[in-house]
Amino acid sequence: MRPILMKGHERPLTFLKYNRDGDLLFSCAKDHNPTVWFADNGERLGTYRGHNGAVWCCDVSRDSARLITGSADQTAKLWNVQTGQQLFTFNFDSPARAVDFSVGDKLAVITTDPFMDVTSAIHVKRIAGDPEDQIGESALILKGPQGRINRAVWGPLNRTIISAGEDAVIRIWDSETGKLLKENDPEVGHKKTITSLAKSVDGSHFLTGSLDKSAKLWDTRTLTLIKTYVTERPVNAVAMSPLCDHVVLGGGQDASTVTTTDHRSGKFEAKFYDKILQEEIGGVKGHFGPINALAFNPDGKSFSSGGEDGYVRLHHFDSDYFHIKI
Amino acid sequence: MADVMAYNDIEATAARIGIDLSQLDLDSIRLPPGEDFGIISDDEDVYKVDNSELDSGFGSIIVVDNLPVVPLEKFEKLENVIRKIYSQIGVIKDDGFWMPLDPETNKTLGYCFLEFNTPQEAELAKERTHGYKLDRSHIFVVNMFDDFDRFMKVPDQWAPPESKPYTPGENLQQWLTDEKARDQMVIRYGADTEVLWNDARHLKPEPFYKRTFWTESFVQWSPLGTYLATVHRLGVAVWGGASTFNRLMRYAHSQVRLIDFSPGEKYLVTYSSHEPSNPRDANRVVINIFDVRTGKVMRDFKGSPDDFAIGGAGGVAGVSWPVFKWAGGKDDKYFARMGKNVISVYETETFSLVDKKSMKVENVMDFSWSPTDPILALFVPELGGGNQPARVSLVQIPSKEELRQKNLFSVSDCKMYWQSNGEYLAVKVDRYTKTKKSTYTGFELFRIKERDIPIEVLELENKNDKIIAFAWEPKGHRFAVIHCDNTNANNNPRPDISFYSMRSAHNTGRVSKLTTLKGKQANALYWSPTGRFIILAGLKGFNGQLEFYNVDELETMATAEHFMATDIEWDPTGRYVATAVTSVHEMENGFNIWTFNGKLLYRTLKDHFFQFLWRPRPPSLLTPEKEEEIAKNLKKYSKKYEAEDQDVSIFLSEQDREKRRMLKEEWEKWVAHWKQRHEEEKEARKNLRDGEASDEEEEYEAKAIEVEEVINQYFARARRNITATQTEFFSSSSFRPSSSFPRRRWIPKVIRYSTTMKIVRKDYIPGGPGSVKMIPVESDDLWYAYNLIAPGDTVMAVTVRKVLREAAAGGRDAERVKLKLEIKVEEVADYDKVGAVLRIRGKNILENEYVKIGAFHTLELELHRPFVLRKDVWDSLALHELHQASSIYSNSLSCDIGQLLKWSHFVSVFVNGISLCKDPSASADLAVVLMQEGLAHILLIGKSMTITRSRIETSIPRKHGPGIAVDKVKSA
Repeated sequence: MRPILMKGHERPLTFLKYNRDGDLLFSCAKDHNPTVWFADNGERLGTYRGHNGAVWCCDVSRDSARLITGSADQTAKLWNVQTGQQLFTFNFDSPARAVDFSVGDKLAVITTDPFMDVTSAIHVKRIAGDPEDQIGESALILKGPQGRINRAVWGPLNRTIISAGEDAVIRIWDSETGKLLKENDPEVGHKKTITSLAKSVDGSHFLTGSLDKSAKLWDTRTLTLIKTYVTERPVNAVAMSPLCDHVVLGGGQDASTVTTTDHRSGKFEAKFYDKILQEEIGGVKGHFGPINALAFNPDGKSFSSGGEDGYVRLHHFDSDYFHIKI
Repeated sequence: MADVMAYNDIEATAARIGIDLSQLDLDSIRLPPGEDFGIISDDEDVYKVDNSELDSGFGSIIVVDNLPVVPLEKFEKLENVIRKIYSQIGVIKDDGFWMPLDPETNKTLGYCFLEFNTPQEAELAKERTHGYKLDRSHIFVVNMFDDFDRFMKVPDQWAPPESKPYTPGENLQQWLTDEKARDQMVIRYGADTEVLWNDARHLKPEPFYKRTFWTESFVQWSPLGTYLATVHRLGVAVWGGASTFNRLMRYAHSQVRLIDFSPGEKYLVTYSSHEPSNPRDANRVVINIFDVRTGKVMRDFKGSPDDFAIGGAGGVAGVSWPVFKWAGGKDDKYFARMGKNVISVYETETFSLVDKKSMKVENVMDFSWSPTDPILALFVPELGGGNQPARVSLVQIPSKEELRQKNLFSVSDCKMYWQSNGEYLAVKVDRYTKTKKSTYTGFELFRIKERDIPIEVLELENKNDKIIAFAWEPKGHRFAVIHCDNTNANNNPRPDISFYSMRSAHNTGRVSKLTTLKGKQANALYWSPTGRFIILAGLKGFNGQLEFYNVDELETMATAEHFMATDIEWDPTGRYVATAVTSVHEMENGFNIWTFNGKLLYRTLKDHFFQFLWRPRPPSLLTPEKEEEIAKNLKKYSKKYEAEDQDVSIFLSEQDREKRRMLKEEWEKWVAHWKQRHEEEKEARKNLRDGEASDEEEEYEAKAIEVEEVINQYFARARRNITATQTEFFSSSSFRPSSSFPRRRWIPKVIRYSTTMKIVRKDYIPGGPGSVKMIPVESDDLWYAYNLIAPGDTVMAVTVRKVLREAAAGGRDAERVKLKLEIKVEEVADYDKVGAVLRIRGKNILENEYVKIGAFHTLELELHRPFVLRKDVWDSLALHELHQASSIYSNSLSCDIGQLLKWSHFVSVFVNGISLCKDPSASADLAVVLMQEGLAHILLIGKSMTITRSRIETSIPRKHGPGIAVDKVKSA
C-alpha cells in the first residue's frame, strides 16, 4: 500500500478526525485553516477559514453536518461541514484546546488552557439544533486540574466527562453536577504529560498516550488500568483500530530536540501494537517529524497520521494487514 | 549475637569465660575476613566521618618538630622564618600558626603547629619539608597532626604478631560453575549498577545483583573476572563472592580517577590528579600500587604530571593511562613506565627498579609489553634530521638484552600491535613519501617465537591506502585491516577490508592475503575471542552497521544494524556479542545481544546507559590436548545441551501460550462486560439521539423482497463506486470485525459496472492500425488502459519533465517543463490504484526542444488527462477491451453476467454483502446474493416473483478470515 501524501497544511498537524461514515477526514494544524479531505483518495474538499490561531482539535457531528474546532485564538467555532460557513463562535479568555461532541450532538465539551491569570477549565456548551438559536453560555464549567487539559471527552451516555492533560492524571467528572468522581491510581498512571486520548468505538474503554513513552488502556466506567504499551519515544498520538485488536502509537523525539543528522534517530514511526498481548507488531514509517495526530477510519481499513512535518499521510491497509498473526 | 549486648552482659560473659576486660586491648581484635559476628558494620559511616574530619578537623594541620628553642624575644623572627618556608607550599590559615611556649622558661618548646587551607597542602608540606635543613643541628621532622594519635599507640615492646588460623574464604569464582554455563555482565545506567546473567535461552537477561549508587564514577572487572572494582571519591573497593557481591577490600586513595589491574589481578594501580591551591604550580599526580588481596600500598609515586607524561623529546601533554604497563602473564612480575629518555622497569618482588636503574633509551616514543612474555617492544623515532634512523627493538627483561632490532627510514609514526599469544608483533609504520608531503603505510611483521625473530615487510597493494583499523585474530595467525584510499580517507564512505594470514598454503613462514572485501561500511574490527569470526562494524558515522563474517569460510554470515551503536563487546566465550548505545547519544540508549552469527537475541533499553562489560573468564585450565579431544567429540557433548535447549524452548513456548491464553481470556471477559453494558444503555443512547437508531445497529432490516429498495437506497448513499475489478477491496472488507463492538448486520455492497472511459476520437480499422484518443474518468479506466496498452504501441500525452539547462553563470539549472511527448511503449510499468496513476515507460519518438528522440521517458497517465493510444494492429482483443472500457452502462443493474464471471471469484469476495447480477441461466432478471455472517441467500428476482434459489449456512470460526466461508459459497 502506498500512502497518500496530503499536502495542504503549512504548519505542523495537531489533530485528525474521520466522520462517522468514514468518507471524510478533518485535519487541524497550527496554520489557521482546518481542512476536510476525501478519506478515500486524499483529495482536498475544502478549508474552514476564520480562525486566527493554531487549531488544536475538532469534532464532527454524527450526521456530518456540523464541525466544531478549538483554536489558540481563544475561540471555538461551529461550522457547516458542507458549505464551510461559520455558524457560531464561542469566545473564551484563553486558548481552546480540546473539543468533543456528546452522544446526540446536543452538548459539546471544550477545554481551555491556563493563560495569564486564567486557570485551565472544561466548559460544557449546549449545541442548538438550529444555529440561529445557538448561545455562547456554558452549561457547566469545571476547574481544578493543574496545567493544560489536553483532551476531554464524553463518557458513556454523556453522564461523565473524562479529562487528561499536563498533570498526567486522568479524571472523570460528573457532567451534570461538575463533581470530580474519580482520579486514576497514581501508582499505575502516567508519569508525564498525557498528550492524547482515544475512545473505543462503543466508548467502553479508551487509550491514553503520554510523554512518559507509554500508552495505557483504561476502562471508561471504572477507570481501571487494563493494558500498558511501552515504546521508545514520547507518545503524541494514539488510535485504536475499530476492526482488529490493534492500537497505534505515534510520536517521536520532541520537535525541539530533533537532531539534524538522521531522521531515523527520531523514530517518527506509527507503531502498531497488539491490543491484547501488548506486543509490537509493526510500524509505518514516513514522517520526518514527530507524529502529532492519528486517526482510524471507522471501517478500520485505513488510517491517517499527521506530523510535525505538516503532512497528512493516508494509509490504506494491504490485505496482508488483516491476516497478521502473532 | 545480632543484638548489641548491654555492657554488664558483656562483663558477665567475660567473667564467666575468664577474661579480664581491663587487660583487653579492643583495638587488637581482628575479625576473620568475611565474618562480622552479626555486628552491623559501621564502616560506611567511618568512611564518611573520616572525610568530614579531614575537611573540618585536623587533617590540614602539621606538626613541625626539631625547631630551634628560642627565647620570647626571638619568637617573632622564628615565626617569620617558618611562615616564609611554608607559604611557598600552601596557604597557612589566618590563625593557623601556633608555637607553644614553655611556661617555666618562657622559651619555645622546639615545635610548632601549622594549619593549612586543605589537607592536600598539608600533605604536600609534610612531604616537601620533612628533613628540611634549617641549619646543621636543626633538621625538620614533620608529621601530620592526625598521625600522632597513631604513633602514640605504638607499643614500646615488640610483640610477635599472633598467627591466626586460616579461614577459607568463599569461592570467588562460583559464577564459573553456573549450570547453564552462562556469562555475566555488568551494566551501569542512571544511578544503578546491575550484574546480569546473559540468559540466551530465555532470550532475556536474568538479574543477579543490583545496587543503586554502587559506584561514584565507573566500575571495572579485574582481568580474570574475580573482582568487580567500584570507584569512589575516597578510593576504590573490590567486590566479589559466591552468591552475591560482598565488599572484599577497600583501597583508600582520595579523589581517585583511574584504575588499572595487573593482568594476574594481584595488584591494583590507582591514579589521581589534584588541582594545586596555587595556580602557578602544576597539578600533582599521585599513583598508588596496592596489593589486591591485602589492600596494602606496595609503592606510591607522586609528582607533577610531566613526570608521568608519555612521550620522548616532543612530549605529549597530559598523562596517558595506564602510566604503568604490566608485563604479560599471570605472574605480574614486571611493570614499566616510560619517562624522558628512559624506560623504568620495576619488578614486583621488591617494587624497585630492575638492576636498580632505569634503561636509558634516547628519545623513546612508545613501548609495549608482549602479552605473554617479559619482552618489551620499543619505538625510537628518527633523530638528527634523519641521520640516525628510527628503530623498533625488542628487549628481554630482566636481562635487558636486545633480541631484535629493525631500523626504519623516513618514518612519521609507528604503532605496535601484539597478537594475544605473543607470537607475532605487527608494527604499522607510516612513512613519508619522497616529497615529505604525504605518508604511506606498511607493516613490519615480527615472528617472536621463531629463531632469530624473522621480520617480514607487508605493503598494501594500493600504496596510497590509509589504515583505519587493524586487529589480530585472538590466539590465531590472521589479522584484518580496514584500509581506504588516502586521498579521501576521511570521508570515504566505503573502505575495503583485507584479511591476511601469517601462514600461506605451502609455507608457514610467509604472509599471504586471504581476501579483500570491497566497499564495506565499517570502521572498526571486533574479532571473536576464540578467533574465526569477526564483526565488521560501522560505528559513529556509519550509524551502527554490523557485518558478521566467518574468516574460515570467507563468507558473510549476517548483516544487521544496531542504530547509533557506540560499543561492541564479545562475551569471553565468543558465543554472544553485545552492542550498546551508551549515553554519548541522548537517544536509543541500551544494548542488544546477538549470537556469534548475527542473530538478534534480545534488546534492552535503558536511559542514561553508561557502561556494558562482560565479566571476563580466566583462561581455561584444560590442556590443549583435552580441548582438542572435546572438539573432536563435540557431537557427544552437544547432545546433552541440545536436549536442554529443546526442553527450555518447549517450556518457554508452553509458558508463552499459557500467558497469551490468559491475556485473551481476560480480554474476552472485559469485552463481554462492555458488550453487556453497551446493550443495557442502548435505549438511553437512542433517546439521546432523538430516537435515531443508535450506533451501527439496525441499519437495515432487509428482507429479501425489499432488495430492490435497499439497492436504490444504497445508490443514493453510495459514496464510492465499487467495481468488479476491486476484488482486493472486498477481500479485505470481508475480514471479520473485532468482536468488541457491534457489527452492522447488513452491509449492502453492490457490484456496479460503471466504467465510463471517455472516448474522444476513434480512428482505426479493426484488425489494422489506428489511434484512439481517450480520457480516463475513474481509476478503473486506468485499469483498462493498463490492459489495453501493450509494448510496441505508442502513447501521446502531456507530461512534465525535468529539464537540465546551462545557466548563464555556467552551472546547470533544473527546470520542470510541461510538454507533449509521444513514446513508444517498452513497459507498462505499474498501475497504482490508490494514486490513480498508470505509468508507462518508453522511448520518445516526438522530438522537441527539450527531449531528444530516443530518450527514455516515463509517462504518467492520470485521471481527466487525455491521451492518444496508437496501435499497429487493433485486434479483436484490444477492441474488446476498448469496448468494455468505453461502454457506458446507464443502468448499473444491467451488467453482463459474462463480464462479471470473467472475474470468476466475484462471488467469493463477499461475506457481508449483497451482490447483484444477471443470471442468464434462469429466466429471472436478476440474481441476488444476500449475505451475512455465516449465512448466504441466493435469490432470483423476476418481474413478478422472487425465488429463493439456495440458502447456505456455515459457521465461521473466529479469526480464521474469510477463507472457509468463501469456499463454501464458491462450491455452491
